[in-house]
Amino acid sequence: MSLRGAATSNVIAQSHRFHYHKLPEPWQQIVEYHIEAAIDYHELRFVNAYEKQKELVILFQNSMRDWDNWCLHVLYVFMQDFQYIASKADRQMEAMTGEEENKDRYLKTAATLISKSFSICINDRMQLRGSKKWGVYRLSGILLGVYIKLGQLNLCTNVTKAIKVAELPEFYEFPKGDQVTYLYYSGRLAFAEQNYAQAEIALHEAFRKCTIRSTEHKDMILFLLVPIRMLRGILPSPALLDRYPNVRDTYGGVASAIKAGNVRAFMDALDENEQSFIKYGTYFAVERARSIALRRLFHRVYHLLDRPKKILLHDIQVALTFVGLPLSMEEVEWTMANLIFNGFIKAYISHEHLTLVLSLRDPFPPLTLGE
Amino acid sequence: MTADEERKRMERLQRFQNNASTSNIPAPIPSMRKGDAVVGTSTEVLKDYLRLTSEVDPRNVRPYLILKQALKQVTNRYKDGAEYPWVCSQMKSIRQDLMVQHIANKFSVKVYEYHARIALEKSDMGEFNQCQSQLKILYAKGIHGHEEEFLAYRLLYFIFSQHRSDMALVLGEIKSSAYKSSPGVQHALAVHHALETGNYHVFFILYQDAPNMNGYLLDQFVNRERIKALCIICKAYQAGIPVTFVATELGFDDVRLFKRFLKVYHITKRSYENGILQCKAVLPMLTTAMAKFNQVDIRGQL
Repeated sequence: MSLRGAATSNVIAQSHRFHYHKLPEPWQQIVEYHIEAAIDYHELRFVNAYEKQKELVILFQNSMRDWDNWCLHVLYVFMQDFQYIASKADRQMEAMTGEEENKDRYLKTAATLISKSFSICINDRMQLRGSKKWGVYRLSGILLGVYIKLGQLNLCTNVTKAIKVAELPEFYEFPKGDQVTYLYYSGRLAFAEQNYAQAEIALHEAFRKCTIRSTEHKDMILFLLVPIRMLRGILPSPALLDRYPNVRDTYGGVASAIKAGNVRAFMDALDENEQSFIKYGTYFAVERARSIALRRLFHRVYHLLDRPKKILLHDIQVALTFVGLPLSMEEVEWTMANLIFNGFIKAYISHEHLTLVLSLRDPFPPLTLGE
Repeated sequence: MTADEERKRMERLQRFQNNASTSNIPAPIPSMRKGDAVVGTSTEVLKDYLRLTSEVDPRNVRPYLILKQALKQVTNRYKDGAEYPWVCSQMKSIRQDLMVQHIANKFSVKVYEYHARIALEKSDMGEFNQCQSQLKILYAKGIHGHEEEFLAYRLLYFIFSQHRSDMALVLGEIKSSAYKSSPGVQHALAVHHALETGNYHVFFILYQDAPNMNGYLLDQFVNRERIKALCIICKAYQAGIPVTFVATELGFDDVRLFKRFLKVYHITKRSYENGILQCKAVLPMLTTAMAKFNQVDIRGQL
């Protein structure tokens, strides 16, 4: 029934049926809008398609309040189509006029309407069995996706807050797909606020529940989960990377550099995949992993020197030069000072003796996502 | 309006139309909202800024040629020592007149670049941000100015305001930009990298030797970074560290300037009596200082 893809021509092909057999309102009007939108979409008149879809949505929403939750599946399709067409319309407008002001205007309007549907569902007063509340998580997924596309992360908190205070059935009672979507977005939002501990929990759960058949979704979750785990010093296993080649292409380089403690290789891999990281919003998280690579390097030095109490900064300088990072002595001091400050190494520096004095107990504490 | 005033108004309009030469006046850029562009008729060259609360009256708006004169006069007066608040008000009103007449061309770029630069001189980050945001839009329309200079400023501005998502976007832009290797942009990138890796040694060297007006932007957050750097030092050098070494590392030309800086944050002689900074003792003052920096709200006013 959706407008996308091959289904469109199907819809158009069936359209003639509705000229002869009239349906009761509002269905007749809804179907007419749907067909018109399909035709416009098929002929690449996206702005017109958007307008038709908008009318359809408004009409459907007005009638929806009195309906039972059978209407949810229809609602999902209409909403998905709506945000998709709005995006296409925006891109088409941008290409035609080249204007930067009023960018995304169609998607923004779409967001307002989708938000309305979300409100209708979450505030539904019907009996639980037929309640539209069952649509809350699915709709939240669509809405959050739109807000993220628009870069309006602040509006996302409205959605999550509304869900927190609403009286809803237990999370695990909702369809698994809806759960996974919501967990993914929670994780993504937490990630954007650098709340890595929370993000990891949500994303791990999303990954666990996500069906193995949806490789695209698994990829999306891993794209965020891998850097968070790297910050805890947990690197993706070769088996994982084999199973998800997209993840390997993006994160494989930095992961192996961290494992080897090779800071130079890490910086090179970071540079190489920079555009991908920026695109998925993980650039800063990955950049932070440089400290993990450094820690790894010094951990190996520590063991190589047979766990001494002190290490000469000069020896550290040699190690850094060895992995392709020649630093001046002052820069070496700053490097170590930063690692100590961030809790990667328990030690102190003696400037007078240019030595790193390690803590007697556990100088390389286990990594946590404390920050 | 009486018939008399009406007549006088028509006369003024006529006078203007007769005097205006047609060659240099740009047509307003045609936009989707054709009705909105106003054509100004005011001949008062200088005008203070007044925020628009209702529909624009063309009699208060200066046409293009008058605005050109206005910019000349304002820049001359600034050179002669006019006060920044007055200059700022004048520049804002020129910007406003350009905006309502939908004038977007090299002159507009000149106006915004000028105001941006003097705003930097006077540490007016609110106005600076407004101007640099507008400039981005104008450059994107294909109007040329000093794009490379301002690309560097944008990156440094987001480092100052700690807007990470915007920072990420600018970094992406720079990597694919033609101005990637210009000295200003290279300097800004080096600053970003130094801060990301906590390499304060390099950061303060870059601070002391900055191209264009990069230094003015760095000035806005240099003290914040100094406090951060001191926090790192104090955690790592618990046995103490020579004051002279710290002073040099933090970009102070003279140890006395460093000591004066410390005094502002309540760190006195007692904390570095024999030339060695007592790290543990100093940490609480630094924590207080850091908290103050994190509270500052620097959103550009709109």
